Amino acid sequence: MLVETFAALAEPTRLRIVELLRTGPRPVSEICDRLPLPQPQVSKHLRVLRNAGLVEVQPRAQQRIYELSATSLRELNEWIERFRDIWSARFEQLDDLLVEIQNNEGKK
Amino acid sequence: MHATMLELKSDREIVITRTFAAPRLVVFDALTKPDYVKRWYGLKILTMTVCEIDLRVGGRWRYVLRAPDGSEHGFTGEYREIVPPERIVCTENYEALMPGHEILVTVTLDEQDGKTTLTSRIIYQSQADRDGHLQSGMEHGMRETYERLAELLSTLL
Repeated sequence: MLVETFAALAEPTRLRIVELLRTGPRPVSEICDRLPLPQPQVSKHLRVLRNAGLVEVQPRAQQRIYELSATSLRELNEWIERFRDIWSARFEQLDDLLVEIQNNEGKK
Repeated sequence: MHATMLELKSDREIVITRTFAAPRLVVFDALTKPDYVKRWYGLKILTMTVCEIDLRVGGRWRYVLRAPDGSEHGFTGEYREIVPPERIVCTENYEALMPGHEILVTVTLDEQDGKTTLTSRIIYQSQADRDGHLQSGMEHGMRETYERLAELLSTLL
């Protein structure tokens, strides 16, 4: 799942679309205007993002509204938390070592 | 218990901050002497099998971490700047990657009232570089993977 998510994001235009959607749902037409890119191209990218579970689509009247999927963003956030946890665990071991070094220096 | 802070500064940059209850001379030693580094850098689940440090500008360092599945992950780099006990700048490269995709790490130590705040700023190369290695990063060492992912997340959060 994550591999797909990152593969989908590892493309500048798609990353830009995700960034655009950060501020809220947008219709396809607006995404095209903001990039700016022709609709067929944008639709192609949106399809990849949708297949990767990064965006969801809601039909509204004549328009298709795209928004970021909370689930996939939560998953991504969990990954970064694990990165932080690694450093956190390392630093806790460093805490113990620092106490030991200072104790030893005190004895000299 | 001090919190480890992680900030996503830009799509190429991560900053990790942590305060330690020790003067920075002691922290600097813990970061630069192999006997000390071996004691904390290898996580409980990872064994540090190699820890070489040639602490001078242009000198190299090399760490090897063994994962529970027996695979070994080598990290290597070169010291660019050393100002004891304030600052270390070095490059870092995950050996499983092709050369030329190194990151630049700047560690700064600030002391106040006997406590030291460590700031580690990790700068990645171009976004193209990052994108090209995202997927390979998924299959390699945990740490490399997390770094690349964290970097990507900086554009999202």
